Amino acid sequence: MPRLVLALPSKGAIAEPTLSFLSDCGLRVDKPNPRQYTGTIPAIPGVDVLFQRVIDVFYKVADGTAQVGITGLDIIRENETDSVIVLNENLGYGRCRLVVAVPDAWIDVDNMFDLADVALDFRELRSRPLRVATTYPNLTRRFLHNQGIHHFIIVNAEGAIEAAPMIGAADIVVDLVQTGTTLRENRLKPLDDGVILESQACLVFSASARRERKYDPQTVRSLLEHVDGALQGRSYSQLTANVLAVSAGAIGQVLIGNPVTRGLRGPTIAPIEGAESTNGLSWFSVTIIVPDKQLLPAIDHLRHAGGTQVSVIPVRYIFQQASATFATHFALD
Amino acid sequence: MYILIGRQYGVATPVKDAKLMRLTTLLNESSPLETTVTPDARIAHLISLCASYGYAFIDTPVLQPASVFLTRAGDLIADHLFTFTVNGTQYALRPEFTSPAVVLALNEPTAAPRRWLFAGPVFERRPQGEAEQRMSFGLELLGLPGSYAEAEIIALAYQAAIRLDPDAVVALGHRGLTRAVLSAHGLDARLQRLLFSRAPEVGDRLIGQYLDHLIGVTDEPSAGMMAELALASSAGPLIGSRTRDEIAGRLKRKRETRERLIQRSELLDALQHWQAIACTAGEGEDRLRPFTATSDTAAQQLDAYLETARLLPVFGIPEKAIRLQPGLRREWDYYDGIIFDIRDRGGNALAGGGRYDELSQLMGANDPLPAVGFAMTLGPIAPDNRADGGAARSLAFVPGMDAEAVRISAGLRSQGIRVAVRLAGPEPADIEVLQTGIRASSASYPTPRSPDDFRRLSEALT
Repeated sequence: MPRLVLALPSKGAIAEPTLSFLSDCGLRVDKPNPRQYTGTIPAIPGVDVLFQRVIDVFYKVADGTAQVGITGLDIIRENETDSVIVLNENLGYGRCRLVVAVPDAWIDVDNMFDLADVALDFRELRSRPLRVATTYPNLTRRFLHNQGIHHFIIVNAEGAIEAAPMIGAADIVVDLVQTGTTLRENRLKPLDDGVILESQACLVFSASARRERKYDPQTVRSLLEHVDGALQGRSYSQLTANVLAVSAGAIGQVLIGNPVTRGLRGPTIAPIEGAESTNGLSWFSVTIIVPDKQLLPAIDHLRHAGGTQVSVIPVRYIFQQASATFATHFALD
Repeated sequence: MYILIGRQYGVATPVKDAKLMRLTTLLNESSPLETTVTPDARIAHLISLCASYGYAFIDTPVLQPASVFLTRAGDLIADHLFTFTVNGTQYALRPEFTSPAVVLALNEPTAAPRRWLFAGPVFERRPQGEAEQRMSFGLELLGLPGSYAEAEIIALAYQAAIRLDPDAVVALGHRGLTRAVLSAHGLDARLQRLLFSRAPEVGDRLIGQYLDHLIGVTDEPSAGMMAELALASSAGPLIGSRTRDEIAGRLKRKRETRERLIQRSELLDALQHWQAIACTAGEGEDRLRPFTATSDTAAQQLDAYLETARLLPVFGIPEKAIRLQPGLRREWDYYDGIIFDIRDRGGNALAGGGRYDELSQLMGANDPLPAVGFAMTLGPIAPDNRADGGAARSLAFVPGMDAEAVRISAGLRSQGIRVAVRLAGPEPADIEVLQTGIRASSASYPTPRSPDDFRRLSEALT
């Protein structure tokens, strides 16, 4: 049975959040030796974890060395190719944006129109093109051309992209930005309409491995069930309340009448053993699953229905009929 | 039809043999030689036509540094180039011939005008299913300013286009005139470039959008902004290699532009009308002259524009096939004078071009090189438009005559006849007939020996 190789980012802003994400999915990664690049997932035997730089995660999945991996959407869009299948474009973390940034001393430049004008100035007054430092040449070129800027060259300043203008190696930069602190520290400012791409962590699979069936379907299914289940469950909570009412049906009517307390299918209502009834009313335990965004409205409505002592526990997974991702991409298995 | 050569025709020295000379005459008269130097039948005739105007067939490398094309390309082209990077330099597969032609001309400077003809594959990334490699045919006339050169190019482009659709129409525009007219109405050259590089037509919405971006510069740069600038430059030269004066100067320019654009009803009016004008060459003077009232440059450009339009009927383009559209734009952004588009009845582009004197300076030349040209792009060569290379005569030789086959065909070729050799099969029926002499189609003839024999045979063959 072939082992499934899962490539994960070893460093950078996306590395730790990836491990937390997998942990939240019930797929904690065990890395026995901090100096090595390998690990395992105790919950799924049959998986070998390979730690790589974010860009190498992509390359390894593209060439089939790793069947599955987590990398950034920015990397995927920069290296458009048929050799990588995107299983999930938004794992909900690792958010950043690819932006055009210029020196903050350019107080006359606020937007891409201004930049286009300055690029023409460079051409006509300086007889040289605008130099852009970036590690995303394809996305950058396409964006600048679409904005009517044609006179520029891409300068490769490995690593220290944001320092390039300061040391004179480039005039402007295009780089991934999270908080913007690094930009500010390097005396740069992003242009409002200069956002090329909103990126986040993505789950990818090797197209060649898929085509040649070079994986164990059960292992893949197990992985995807955990991820899909956790992604579905993460924004829900389970509410349990004690309600004094004349009957389960009466409670049911009130709760079902309001969308925030309708739950996934309906409320579970059970009589509480040993609780005293009062004036013909009995105690019932009510359980519903509620989206976190509607937590307070749901609690208020439960109270309105006579609910007290509402306890809330986060939902870890919601499993539907089958993992949607597995069904979509691996249906023939 | 083929001519079968039997043993009686074996020759030792082909060139001098009298019989061979008679055969040569016979073959020459029925198969005129046609020169074709292209595999594409669609343009073989055009190459001959343009050669008669003095255009020489030139080639440029398929692979060029990408910068050659990106110098003044519209965004559509830039996005569609096939590029790749080798050792840090970006290369592209040529999408057209004009830019490389200028590079070639600058590398081989000369005072005399040059007429160059290009034909070959060009490459462009296209949506799936469409051909990425297509045939392009075009002309470049370098070193000749003025209307005559423009009219010659347009006339030859028209000749090329009417082979595809006899009802093709020439739309004639003028970038220099448009630039001058819009400038005179408040949209300076720089602003034209900025706005038109975003959209093919400029109207209130785009200008409004641009104006929104200028908000914030209503007053003199604020004390705060200037303090920021001073702080940024206090530690030495500004990063990003612009000077403080440049930045302050541009702020001023933005303010002035804003003030001008706020009162833009007159400009919008002019823009809308100018971009919509389409009239006959005869109506040109009356429709267009009013727009040039406030600008001498515009008036001169209009004179040149109309002069070229007047020459076209002299070249044979019917008046009804010419339409003046001064605001015409094309995908390539390097035209600065006359510009034209030839379309079929359905509005599909057949050929197009214009004058691009400034391109050479954009590529680093000190002086402008007058240049005007056109290009026509066709789909890839398909089996039914392969040139046949001129009909070759088929000579079939009986088996065992290989050496004679070589000598006889060499002799005929030295007389300018194209010979394709076939070897006849050794079927008994054939051999019997073959040995009687020359066989043409289904009849057979005795071996020609006398001039009368040849005359009879040639009458039978033609």
